[in-house]
Amino acid sequence: MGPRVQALLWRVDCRGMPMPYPLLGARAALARMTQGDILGLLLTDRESELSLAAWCRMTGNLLLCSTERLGVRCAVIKKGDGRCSNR
Amino acid sequence: MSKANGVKRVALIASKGTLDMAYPPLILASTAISMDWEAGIFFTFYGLDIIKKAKLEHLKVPSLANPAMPVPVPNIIGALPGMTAMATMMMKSWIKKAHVATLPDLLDVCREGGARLIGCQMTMDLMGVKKEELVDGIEVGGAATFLEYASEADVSLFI
Repeated sequence: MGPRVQALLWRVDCRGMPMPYPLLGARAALARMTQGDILGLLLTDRESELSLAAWCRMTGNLLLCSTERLGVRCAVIKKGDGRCSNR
Repeated sequence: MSKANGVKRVALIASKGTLDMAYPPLILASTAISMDWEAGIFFTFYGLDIIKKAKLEHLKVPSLANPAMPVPVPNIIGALPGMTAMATMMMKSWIKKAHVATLPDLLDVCREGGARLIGCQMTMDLMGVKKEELVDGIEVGGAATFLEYASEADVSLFI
């Protein structure tokens, strides 16, 4: 058996949007997803990107990675159980 | 003290009516909403200007006694006529350049997210402000209204 490949079904494009719209975009998408689903979030706002780790801890989701290329940041979030993990 | 249902809550007091000081309460409240928190802002004294229809889009940046301006202006120059307008214009150009959300947009996010926006009754009496002068979706309340709300808040800040 090869590695398990999961297609990225959920994407939100928040390029050009200022804080707090990318977070609101992530919230809206995550509300429609089920636990374990993966969300790809594209953003250009630095403040939102820096907020994402804390935001994910507070909302009970998991920030898998966050990378930047050519000025666009891509964050990958796995939907969690919704329980705040900042304890 | 946290609420029994586990939903977090932030209670803010907005007491300043300048363009720069209108941002912190609105950014914090809208970010709290993005995390599914409850958010409430009590607008008191000059902070009431943030929710006045006629003022919201015309809040200004003081040019006097503000040594933190990116372009420092000596107070004696800052006191000259037109300097407040100039400082405000500069700040608005930075806001535009940095793609920062505008105050009316942030207020919309708060309203649509169900934030409690409370105008201070005492301030309205003191300054002769009528409810019709405030933007839509504002409730008018007093200190006890805020304290009751804040008594169950996880985060409470005076700005």
